[in-house]
Amino acid sequence: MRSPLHRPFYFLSALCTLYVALCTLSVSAQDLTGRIDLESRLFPNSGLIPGQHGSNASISAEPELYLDWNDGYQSLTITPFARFDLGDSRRTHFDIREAYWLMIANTWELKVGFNKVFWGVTESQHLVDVINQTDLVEAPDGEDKLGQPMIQWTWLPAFGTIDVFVMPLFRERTFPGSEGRLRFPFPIAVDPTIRHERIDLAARWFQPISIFDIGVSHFWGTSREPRFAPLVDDNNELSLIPVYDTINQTGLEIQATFGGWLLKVESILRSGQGDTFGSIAGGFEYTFGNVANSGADIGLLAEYHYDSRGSDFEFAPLDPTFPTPLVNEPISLSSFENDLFLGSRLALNDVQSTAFLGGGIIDMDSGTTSLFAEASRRIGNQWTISLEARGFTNIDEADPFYFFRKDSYFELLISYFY
Amino acid sequence: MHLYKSVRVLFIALVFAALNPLTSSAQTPEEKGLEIAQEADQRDLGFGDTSSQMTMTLRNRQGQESIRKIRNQTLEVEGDGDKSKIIFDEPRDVQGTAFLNYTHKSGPDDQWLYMPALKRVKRIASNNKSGPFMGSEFAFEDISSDEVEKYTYKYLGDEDIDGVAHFKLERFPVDSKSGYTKQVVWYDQAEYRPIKVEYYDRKEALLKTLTYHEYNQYVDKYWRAHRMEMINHQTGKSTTLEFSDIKFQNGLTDREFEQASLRNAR
Repeated sequence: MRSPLHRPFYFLSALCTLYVALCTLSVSAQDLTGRIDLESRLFPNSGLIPGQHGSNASISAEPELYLDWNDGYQSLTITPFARFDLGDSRRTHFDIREAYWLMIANTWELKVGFNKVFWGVTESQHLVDVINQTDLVEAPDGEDKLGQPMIQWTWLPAFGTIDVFVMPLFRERTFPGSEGRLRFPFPIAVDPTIRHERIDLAARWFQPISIFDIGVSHFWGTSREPRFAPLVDDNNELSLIPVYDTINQTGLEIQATFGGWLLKVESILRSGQGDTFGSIAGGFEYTFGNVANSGADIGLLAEYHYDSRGSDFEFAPLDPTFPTPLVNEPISLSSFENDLFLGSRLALNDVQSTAFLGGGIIDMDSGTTSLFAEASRRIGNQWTISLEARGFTNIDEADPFYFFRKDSYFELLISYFY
Repeated sequence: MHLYKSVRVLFIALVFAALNPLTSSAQTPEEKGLEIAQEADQRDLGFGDTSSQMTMTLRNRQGQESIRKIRNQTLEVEGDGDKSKIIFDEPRDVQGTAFLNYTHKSGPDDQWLYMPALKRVKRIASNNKSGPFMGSEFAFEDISSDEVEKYTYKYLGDEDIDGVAHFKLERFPVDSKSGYTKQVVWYDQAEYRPIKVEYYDRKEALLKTLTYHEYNQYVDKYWRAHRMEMINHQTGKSTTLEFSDIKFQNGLTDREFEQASLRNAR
């Protein structure tokens, strides 16, 4: 089901892998670092769909090769990523997270190749962050990103940092496969007729001004967030086809930092994806440092999300005979139209960097709640262990999370760093 | 004639006293303490920039060790506190994490943290001075640049340590967020280098002792300790900092201390 357009990407991937292999042989061990993760997930409830597994095991590797010359003013960073997953064939995948050449000059920098970029200030949702595609098959929180081929030119004038991006190749979002959990009950198809031949452009200005960190950005190109068009085939089977519209998105991000407070807001205005809409996320993070002289920090977080698209999710009759013509426009599955995030962070600041993070997002209209808790610590100098629980409760039938109502899970992650 | 001679001697003595304020009898212990701190600061002025590598050895009460490796860059800022950048090499799970600090003589520092896994530069709250740095016995305030304005001072007297003359003074943190009520500092009289610091907690009990070792002089002027030992008397834990590859005047500028530079921190 892969489009022919993926071929150059895979060819490039293979080339880079070969290059990594060759370089590994000739450079010192100091330049090669990385991590290997062993992941195990346990789903206490049986899946909605027959064939879904109750538990899963997975292994992933992310080596990083770094070479520099010219006193570090030029460098090459190559970070491939590969996962082998027992339960979900689509989760077994390979990506080039990074493979770029960097040149640093006095007032500018140039990066050419696959790279990852982060924009934004809030914690529970990243509205402004639009450069990289989400590697959704990795984790449902959307924090994992695919490497994006780009030319990034950074200019450092007196009035801040200006980044300009030219992105010649679009990456489609990854989705769990038929045996995977945390997926819709109908397959996500890939429409081979969809072509992404345009070159995406973006720019961002960033500048700290006293207690404020301010970023303004614009993106003109293929939306990383798809809408979905339902398709019923000859056998009356429903599938969803992701539709990646050409959008214009202007983003604003502001953080004010004073005392133990971080006040944050980020907002976007997007056109080209149905009606023009705006989204905003804002809130605070307050840290009690060195609580009772224990060395530990406790952080409290609250963020509110608003999306002017509202909840236009209308799959209500989840019937395979669901008539396609009902939906003329592809559907957006944004689920943060009026939501509140509350969370807390505890960092013991001990030798093992023990940390806990927990929270939840509540839909203020329907009451749908998703909860998570994470605990992590280092073991020795090269290992870390983390436990995570993620769950959904009080789910409204009209919420996209409704499809995940049986997919609460526990995750154990053991990581080795070298 | 005899009287004339005595008056002249007295006059010369007075002139010397005026020229050498440290021996002026009119000085209060507070003034003299400030003067010593200012002199120590003065002798380190004009260093421009430095870079170094640091190995941190954390020891618990049972003597079990953990190693941290970081690299430092510091830029002297005229009329304000220094800018510094720290890049973490070990433990490996935090490798590539970078910390940028703009110290200010008065008011809170500006701090940014770069998280390489997320490629994210995040401005962080700088008010948590008393918390531990990387799980060590050094608090953030112990490793940030020593600006004269961060304390008030009181000279306690001269003291010989191993036959070498030292000034002993108390300093009191101005910032109420400091984890200390006071510190007692010994400077050697010849070079005004800190040799030992005792830290007293909020209950005024002795908490930690820091000692400086293996001083080397750079560019014929600036002294840097190559080893620092911090012992926590209340927990029995200790931390050793060992510095290597100390370099002065690398030609660093504000450019290397931009937020964007964190993304390329290696």
